[in-house]
Amino acid sequence: MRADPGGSARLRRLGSYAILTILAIVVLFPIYITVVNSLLRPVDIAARPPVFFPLHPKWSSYADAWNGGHMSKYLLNSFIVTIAITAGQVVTAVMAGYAFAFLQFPFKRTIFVVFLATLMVPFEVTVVTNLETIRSLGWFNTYQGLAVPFLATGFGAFLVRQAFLQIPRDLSDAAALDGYGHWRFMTRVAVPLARPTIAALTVFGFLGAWNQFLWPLLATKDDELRTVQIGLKQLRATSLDSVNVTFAGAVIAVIPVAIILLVFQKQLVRGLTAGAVKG
Amino acid sequence: MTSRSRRRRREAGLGYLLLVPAVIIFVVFIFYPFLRNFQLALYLNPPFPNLPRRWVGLDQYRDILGSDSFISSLKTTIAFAFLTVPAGIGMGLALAVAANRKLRGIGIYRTIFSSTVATSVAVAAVIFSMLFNPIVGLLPWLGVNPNPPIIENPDLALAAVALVTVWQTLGLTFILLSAGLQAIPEDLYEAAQVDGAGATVRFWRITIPMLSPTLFFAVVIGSIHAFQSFGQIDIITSGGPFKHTNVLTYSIYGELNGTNGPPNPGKAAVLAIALFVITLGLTVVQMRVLERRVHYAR
Amino acid sequence: MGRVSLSGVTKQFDDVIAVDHLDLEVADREFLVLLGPSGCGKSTALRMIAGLEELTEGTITIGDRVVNDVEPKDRDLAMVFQSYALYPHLSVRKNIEFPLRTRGTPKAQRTAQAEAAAESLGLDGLLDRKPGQLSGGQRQRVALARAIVRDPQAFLMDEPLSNLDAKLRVQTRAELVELQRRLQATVIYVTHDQVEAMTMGDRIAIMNEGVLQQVGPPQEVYARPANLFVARFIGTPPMNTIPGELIGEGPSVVIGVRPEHVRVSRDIPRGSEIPASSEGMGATVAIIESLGHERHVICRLPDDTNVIARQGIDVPPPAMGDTVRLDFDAAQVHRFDAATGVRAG
Repeated sequence: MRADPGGSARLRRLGSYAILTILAIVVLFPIYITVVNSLLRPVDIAARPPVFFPLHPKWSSYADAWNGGHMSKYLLNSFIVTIAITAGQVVTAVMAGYAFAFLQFPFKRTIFVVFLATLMVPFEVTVVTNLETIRSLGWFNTYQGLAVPFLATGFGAFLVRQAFLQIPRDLSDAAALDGYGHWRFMTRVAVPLARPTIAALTVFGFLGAWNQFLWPLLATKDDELRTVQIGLKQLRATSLDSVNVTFAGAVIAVIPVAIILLVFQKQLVRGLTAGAVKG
Repeated sequence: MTSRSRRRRREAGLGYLLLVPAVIIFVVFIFYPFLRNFQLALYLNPPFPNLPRRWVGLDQYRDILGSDSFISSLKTTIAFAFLTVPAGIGMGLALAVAANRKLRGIGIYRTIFSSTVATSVAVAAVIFSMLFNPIVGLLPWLGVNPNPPIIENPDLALAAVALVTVWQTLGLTFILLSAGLQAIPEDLYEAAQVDGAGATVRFWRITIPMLSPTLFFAVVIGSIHAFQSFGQIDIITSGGPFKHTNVLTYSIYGELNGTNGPPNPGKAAVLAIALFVITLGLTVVQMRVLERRVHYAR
Repeated sequence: MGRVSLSGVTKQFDDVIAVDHLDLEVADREFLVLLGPSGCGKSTALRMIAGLEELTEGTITIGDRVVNDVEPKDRDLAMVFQSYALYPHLSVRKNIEFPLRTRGTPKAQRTAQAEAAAESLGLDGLLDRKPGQLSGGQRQRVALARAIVRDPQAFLMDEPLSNLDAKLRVQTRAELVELQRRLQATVIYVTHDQVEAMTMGDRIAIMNEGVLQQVGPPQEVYARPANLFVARFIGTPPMNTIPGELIGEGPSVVIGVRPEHVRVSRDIPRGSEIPASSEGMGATVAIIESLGHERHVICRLPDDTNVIARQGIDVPPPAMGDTVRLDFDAAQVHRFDAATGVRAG
């Protein structure tokens, strides 16, 4: 039971690093190989043994994906739709959260339960009718059709209400004494204090909207309107001979999200753990 | 009217006003479709698009839910969930535990482990469909070269798609479980050490119980996600080969898109209801059975 | 044998030395208190004894064996944490049984031992509750029960009373001492509260900034502090320290005299200067604090140093602003080197 003097701790540490590195390689490998392959020629990608590092990176695949592969258009579409959805979700969540947290009105509790109930309805059940609704409004194959159904979430209202409820009573009393109306209180006090939660909701909403797949697939038919997720699928189909272009497309699809997540990692964690860990 | 009740009226009015936008969206795009779905399911859609549909009532429910194609789709969906959820959580937990140490440079590892959160289902599916490709992909070179190739292999296709799903959700699972792990007070482990508990005992007697709320959340959310998976099926296998990856969501899509004959919203509606009921039922069962063993802090 | 021995024990975190070459011997069945302000290294030293912290240098011996590389779980110690560290998901009974479970004690014996420990601490009715349902004092007792259930070589306690309210603290203090006597156990007790140290310890080891200042029985540490730090740290109200210049002994000396050894006298011949020496000096009364059973007269010296004198209530109090004569009990005046703080003579 006696460990060897002094060395045991170091050995244990080395073992930890070894395990961590192996796990890291396993997790990172697909992304790594995607980046590598995006810089190789198709013939090199198919080469055996495989090339693991591009000695002469071929950047043209990115240009191809961007222009001929329409990734630029797809990215633009995604941005437009995602920003619209995110903005809508945050605004409606703040408004609803404020109403639930600071205002009194009949049936408040019931309505809140209704808001939460929306989380229980899975997307597939609403898809059929929503398609019809979109069509009858003339919104099929438009930005509105892509964004409007998602402009509000029960989760957002729940989160913001939670954050607003944490604001101490004294603050709202003091504001009332100072003559703050609701609008001023909301914009000058409540929202700034709830900023971390609202930021988390924004990141989370952005991620969700950006990654949507089924709805954009069903609600658009023109290449002009495709979002980056559907566009990538299309790119794969049209680039069968130049797989490196598809890999480049995948990288392009990931970069905006990666940047946003790197900057806002804390907010993402916050949004995720809001439902799980107490705190 | 006293000024007090006038103020109260105004406040209530403001309250309702603030809720109106969200409520409109919910009613139009969530509640109305939800209810209408039940109605849609009562109509049999004709094989030719311009003929009127026929009201068949509950017969359609019975026909579809009893059909072989539905049963097999259901089995596929359940199998998919079993392949994805335990593996996903197990792997996420392994990563979270491994990275829960105070080592130099641990931040880099944690960033790497979270990295798949930047990938979407579509991106992951595209990447892996290339990796699985017998000509371009690397798996054949690594020795994994079944015949027929993975994506066209009825026995392996579902597992392959499950693998992609597990990988893509690893980042999220890692972040979630990591946060839960870090919330466990350090002195509990120290007390256990002094009390004579080795690493394994500490893991099963302290880590897992204290992590149970987070684990429970991950299982419930993970199951719901598994049942609603679509993108990776569409991109990698399109429901094949021979419908071996035809999960319920894909069947629904098939009926709406006209891949199994003309679009059949009635059938899609029935399938959607089935999916909803099963998901809800599973969640309720999980809450009854699993939540009892979850320890919540006071 | 419950003897614990620290030899040259050092702990360095990056460039901070938390514990600096600590030499300490704790005898079997001794109640040793590690006392000092926050950050002085006492908790770090305790954790090193427990094995929760690795040593940078030095040796720790428990009983007869050197335990530097022995894991905490094999050191046969018990520890009571400041936060109690009770397992929140286990019942009180299971909490107390935990150390026995990990050692593979058979069930019947486990139950018996756990119940005995619980009973000795007055916890019998609470065995099936969870820690979340208990009060602070009850939780503390569960932590104690968990510690005593195994009969270890020594007990380590890290400020176990600091989370209790004042009244409970006083009561539990006495109970802890009694428990130690009954169990005939070696206890190493960390605290920043010098009252706890004085009332509980067989010996007190005072630390400051990682360095051991003095070790000795409470009375000795009180009556003959080894340096200025100890002198000022022990005793309430703290010892008065007066620079040597004010009493005509030059800047290289600081004298110390405890408030109970200072007598305040209004008996001053008119118009004459009060001579300043180590036997007394003049001062102005600044504040008078009445505590009911005694009085603290806080006087100000010419250089704004404060001197506190304890006065019985049978003596008429002086008035604020009065010029008074302070008489120091010559036998109780301590001398310290002004530069090093070390006791001179």
